[in-house]
Amino acid sequence: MAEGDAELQDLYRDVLVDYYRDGTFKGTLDPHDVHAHGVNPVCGDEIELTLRAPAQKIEEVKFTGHGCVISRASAAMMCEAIEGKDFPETQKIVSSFKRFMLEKAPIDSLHKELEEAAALDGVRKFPLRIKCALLAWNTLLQGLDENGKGHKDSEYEEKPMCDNGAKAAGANGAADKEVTPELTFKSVGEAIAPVEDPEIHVSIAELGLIYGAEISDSKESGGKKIKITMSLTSPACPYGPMLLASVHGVLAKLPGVRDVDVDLSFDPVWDPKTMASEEAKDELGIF
Amino acid sequence: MGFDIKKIRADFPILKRTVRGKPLVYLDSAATSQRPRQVIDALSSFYENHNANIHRGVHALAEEAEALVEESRAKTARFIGAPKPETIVFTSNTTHSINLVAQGWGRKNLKPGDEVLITELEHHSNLVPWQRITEETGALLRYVPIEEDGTLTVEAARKAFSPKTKMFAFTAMSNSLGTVLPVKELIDLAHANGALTLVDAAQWVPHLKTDVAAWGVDFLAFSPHKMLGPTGLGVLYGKFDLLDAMDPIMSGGGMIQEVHYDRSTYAPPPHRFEAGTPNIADTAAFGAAIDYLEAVGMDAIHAHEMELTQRALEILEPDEFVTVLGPQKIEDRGGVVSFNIDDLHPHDVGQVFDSEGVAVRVGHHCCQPLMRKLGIGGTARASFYLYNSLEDVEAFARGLSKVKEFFKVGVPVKVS
Repeated sequence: MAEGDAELQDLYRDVLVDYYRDGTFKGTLDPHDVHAHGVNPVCGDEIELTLRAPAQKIEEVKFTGHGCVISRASAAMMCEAIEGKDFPETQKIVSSFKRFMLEKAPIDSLHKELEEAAALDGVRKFPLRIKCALLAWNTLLQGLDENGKGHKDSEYEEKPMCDNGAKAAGANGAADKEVTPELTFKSVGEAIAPVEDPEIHVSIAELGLIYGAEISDSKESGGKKIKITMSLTSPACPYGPMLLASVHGVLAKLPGVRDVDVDLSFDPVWDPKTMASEEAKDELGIF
Repeated sequence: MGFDIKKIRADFPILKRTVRGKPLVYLDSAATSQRPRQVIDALSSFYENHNANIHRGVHALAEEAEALVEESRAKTARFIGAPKPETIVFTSNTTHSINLVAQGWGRKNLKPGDEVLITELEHHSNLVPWQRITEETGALLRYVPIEEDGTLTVEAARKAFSPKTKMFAFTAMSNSLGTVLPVKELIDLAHANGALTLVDAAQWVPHLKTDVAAWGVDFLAFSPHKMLGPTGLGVLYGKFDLLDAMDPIMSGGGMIQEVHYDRSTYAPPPHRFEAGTPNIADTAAFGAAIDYLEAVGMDAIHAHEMELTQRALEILEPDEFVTVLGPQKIEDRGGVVSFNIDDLHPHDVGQVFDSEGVAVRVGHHCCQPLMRKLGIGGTARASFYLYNSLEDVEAFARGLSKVKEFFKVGVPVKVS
């Protein structure tokens, strides 16, 4: 297989293309019991879901809209998986799929109705395309409220860069309480390492978002001061404040640290091509 | 030197590299061009031999650096037919050039009720700055509508003028559809209506002979990085009297005549608009890009690009699954071809082209209002320049077949 083709087929498994082209679930149901509209403003993908579910059981589901092969195929797979299911079961299926895409849950942990969705496995290697695969599922979730009732009109919008329930590091396994090791750049680096970008689950250090670190004596007696300069994948990242707080949190827990200063910088603007580590680039699908 | 495609390609080091194991086929010059060895050498030569800050230097290096910058200014003026170097302002890009006019001219001259006219084809860079200044001044922003095929007629423009139109700003060639506009006629029309003109020539100057004096255009903006020059540099041409009546939008060092603690006077154009240490090295290297284009000849370059465009259209147009956007007649086009394949998303299309080493651009091309008007989310776009060959177009054709095959375009599929 030629070099460019391996990557291509990882992203677009044959079965995805089939689901993309398939017309079984395309269209609009009228009348319907649930209607949900979702957009991804980053790429313009849009989906409109209509469900016939008179007794909170999905008897029929259709979708319309436009989007890439991945988002359309994923929508068709979703429809296939949820048709005939009641709302609680549907919630379980959606959760299973989201765990698979976002938390890299193993294929064999997928809900039994999601056999075909396993073909989206390759998409997980391309974090920038994960959102494409999730649009239909997040839109559906929005259409089913937490009490398990369907909404007549719900709106869902993907957020730029960061979307899912955050999982950034809180504790870092913390340092040994008995011995106070000397504060070094190495220990600072190790403390930051587990902090991940909440969407793409790659360490922010690996991504190259840490621009600099300074260790100095704190004005408070006996302690050290750490100053970190870091960036975000996008200035619009809504999880920015949370990431800064995470970095602050893990550093403040280091022994002997009295003062932590986290500075945000977009100079230079983060560029994964030149700043991310080889491993991170691999994760991001940049070659 | 005549048009020798082999010799030209040999001058561009990047064309030797491979992408995804295949030779690079670069069809994205409308976004930014590649650079020949001569320009890359000029840039490193500046840093190796002449680097110094300009203005008020009395040492040898400062004089050399200043001379190189001013030489590039003179070359730029000559290249676009400007009457004198003082009409050439170096900015950081086309967007900056347009903002300079929108703010520097607009703030002083636009009043509530005045109108600024642009077209529906504009790149965001010739749209948003006008949105802002019209909002700030209470002026109105109006649009010349385009025809269905993305062309713009002088007649449509004529109807859009009113006695209140103070400025007509339009693209000479659409970056997204490739439409070439009747520039001279539009400028004459604006002048007949008492309006000034700004031409966004970012897609024109790199590809077609430009003569601002013959056009009579008031302002012209373009970017060296689309014409073999370095990134981070833009050009604004303006009629000297208009520039001289304009206020700077940035102030500080390098743009003053006299500074006191309580007041300052500004330098005459062009330096009034070049506050701070400018992009000296890139400006110096830009001279080498102009030399290169002049040596090949703009007429030869344009003829070559249109040959490639013709071939690309011959491949795309008969294909029942391909929609070519933009003008029907090749005479109304530049070397840009925008298209969609079946109902495929442009990102998917681009990904498959990339797997073949073919670089095309996908998306809305910074023309969201235009895409909305055309009822599409975006397009895939191939754009050509002097270093592209007919073999590149054949590689493009292979990419197109692969897209259709890979996504089973036209094949009936049923999964359940």
